[in-house]
Amino acid sequence: MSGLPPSLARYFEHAVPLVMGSLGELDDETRAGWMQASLGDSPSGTARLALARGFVRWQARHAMGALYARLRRTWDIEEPGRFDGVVMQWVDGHHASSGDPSSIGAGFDAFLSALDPPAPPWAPEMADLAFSQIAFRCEHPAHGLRPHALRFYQFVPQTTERRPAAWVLSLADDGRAQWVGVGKGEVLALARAQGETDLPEPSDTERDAGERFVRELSVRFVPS
Amino acid sequence: MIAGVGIGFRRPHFDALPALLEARPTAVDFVEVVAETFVLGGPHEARALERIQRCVPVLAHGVSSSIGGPTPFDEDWTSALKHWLERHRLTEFTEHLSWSSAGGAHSLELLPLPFHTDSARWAAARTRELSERLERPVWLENTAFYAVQPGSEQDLSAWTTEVLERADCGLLLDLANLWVNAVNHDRDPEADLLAMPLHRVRQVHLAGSRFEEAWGVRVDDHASAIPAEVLSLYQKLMARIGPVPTLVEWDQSIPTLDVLLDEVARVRAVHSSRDLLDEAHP
Repeated sequence: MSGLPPSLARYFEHAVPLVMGSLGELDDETRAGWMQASLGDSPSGTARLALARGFVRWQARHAMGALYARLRRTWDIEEPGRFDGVVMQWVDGHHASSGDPSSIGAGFDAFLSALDPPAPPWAPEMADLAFSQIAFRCEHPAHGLRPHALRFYQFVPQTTERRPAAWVLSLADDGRAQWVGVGKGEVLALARAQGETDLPEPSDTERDAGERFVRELSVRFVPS
Repeated sequence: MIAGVGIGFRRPHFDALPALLEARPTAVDFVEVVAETFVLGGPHEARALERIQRCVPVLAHGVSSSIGGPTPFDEDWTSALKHWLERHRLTEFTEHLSWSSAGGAHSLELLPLPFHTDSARWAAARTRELSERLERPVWLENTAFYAVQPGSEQDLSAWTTEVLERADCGLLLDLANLWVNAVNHDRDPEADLLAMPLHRVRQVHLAGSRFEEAWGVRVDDHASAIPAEVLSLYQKLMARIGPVPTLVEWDQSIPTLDVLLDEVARVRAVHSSRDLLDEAHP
């Protein structure tokens, strides 16, 4: 649809950079001041006008924190606050590409790989978007003691060994809860077995690991 | 026909709420779902929704269509949304009277437009366009805003009225947003309420908010119980227009269902008050 009125087109020319542009060295109020110089004053004042940028940044940080909750917790053990600082850098210039807030994480793993000073070696792998989206959607506040559906599994990162992995909380044959270490291949295979179809293609190694994992499921896990 | 008091279907309750409604279908009168969670979700989300739909009516609510935005609607999104609405037999759709994206970048925030006739015409035309694309009515929700945008010539109530009249659509009246706006802009909430196009109200939202000291504003965060002031406005609204479907919104720091049902009980006490019914329909 075309036909955006000129007055509104002019408004968006200023509003979009204010709320979503990369600010660089400019603070929010400076940008809001420029907007008023072009469009007229806001009766609410410059500081209030600048708040919109703060809200957008807050929403972006919230989405990143929810998507990468495990990465954040793990990283905070080694470098408290580093994740938050890195996310602040990330959200200044990156936005969600759809109404799905987790789409803001696209490319975050590559960003982590190129960080200076470097991120921990396991961080980029844990930031894999497809893996994180699956894990996020499978979150369950009751910590998943019912393993008959993927949504009840609880994923936590493996922190004691420096390799990308996650733990799945499951029930052993005797009914006791136990943690089982799994990687991306296992998670993808588990997701596929539970009916997920919109999944990335695993590598050969991941596929083998996943198939092995699912074959063992009937033995190791309590069936639904 | 949807009526009564409902709650939102949020991810932490994907298992507990269907289980509750299967056991007690009258615990709530309807459930509202955020379309993005389900349209962009997978089979787990679809199954959860289907379980809910077997128990109570469902309303569809959107957060990312960017009704007032400068960029044409995302055809992939509107097409997927229409397909999903059809598949689940959802007959209306509600969206926010705001903008949230531009050029493919989504801010994830509901941003205000300047309040003037040009923006009202634009938002109304876009609402009609979305309604045509979805082949069903689109109702608009008033949002919280923290600054009057440069170039504004009207107040929110007058502007909202103009948009709704031009779009000829229903109003999802968020009383929490209305009250937050009144507090943040030193206005009389009751006067603002009465200035809204109340004859167009099709649904009401009620929610909590908090005062954010760092920013010096009350923030519409949907993270706590409904304040007494908002419930009082609700009582006045019900007295004036009679009962309409009313949602208890709680989207952050989501509590257990027991807490939500306590909120539903508070709202139901107002919603079904005989005194109010008599006053509205003497």
